[in-house]
Amino acid sequence: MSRISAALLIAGCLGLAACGTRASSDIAAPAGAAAPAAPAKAHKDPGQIPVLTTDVTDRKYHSLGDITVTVSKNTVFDSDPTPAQVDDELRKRAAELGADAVILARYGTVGIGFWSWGKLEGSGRAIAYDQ
Amino acid sequence: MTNRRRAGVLALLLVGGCAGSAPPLPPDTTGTTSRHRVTAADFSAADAALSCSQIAAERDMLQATIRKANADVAANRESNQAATMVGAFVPLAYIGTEGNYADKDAIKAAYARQDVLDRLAVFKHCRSG
Repeated sequence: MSRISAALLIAGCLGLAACGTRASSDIAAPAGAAAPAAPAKAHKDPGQIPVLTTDVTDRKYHSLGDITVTVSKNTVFDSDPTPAQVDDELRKRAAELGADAVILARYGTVGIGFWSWGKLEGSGRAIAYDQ
Repeated sequence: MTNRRRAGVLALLLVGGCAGSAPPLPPDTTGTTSRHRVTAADFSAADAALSCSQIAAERDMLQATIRKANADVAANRESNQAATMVGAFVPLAYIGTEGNYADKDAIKAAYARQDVLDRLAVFKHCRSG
């Protein structure tokens, strides 16, 4: 195998290994509400946390934090990030806060970022129901 | 590539096909720890006069606006990506990128209006769904 072929093979393997997406997140105190003193509950299973695009009006709740996540694809060959992937990341962060749900979920638009060929930002408010 | 050309490429990356950030979340007015309770003074006279069915209808329209704007952005996604790749070698290709700024602004405006309508729906005790 020539050096060029070997280099191409290694580059290809590295490229494939980097396939997929990565995510980053930020959690801020809930806008317009008192910041929670401490996580009220143990971490929940992220899969059990609903992500809603609306507010909750039929149950009392308190806000735990405003979560912003960004899902980025690693290479130009990967699929663009989707709102469903953003929801998954919102669930994970909400679970870390001990939340029961994420409300008011909203999404930006997919496009090129400084460090990614495709990224999608989303945000939502983590809430816990009052007893 | 010279520094000047690199700077040009970076500047063009900023103006074409970039990701739009998520619209900001509204202040918490419904949680038990919110600092502000919604009153009639929070709404314009025209908004305050809206019925629950009118609020729901406008909300549906806003959802349609968001869907259409997202579809418009997605329609240009592949060509933007291709133009950006080619643009690394042939900067003229950046002219082919489409920023969809009007669509991105429409999405943000629709979410902002939706937040007002949601507050109004809660204030008027409209049934959700």
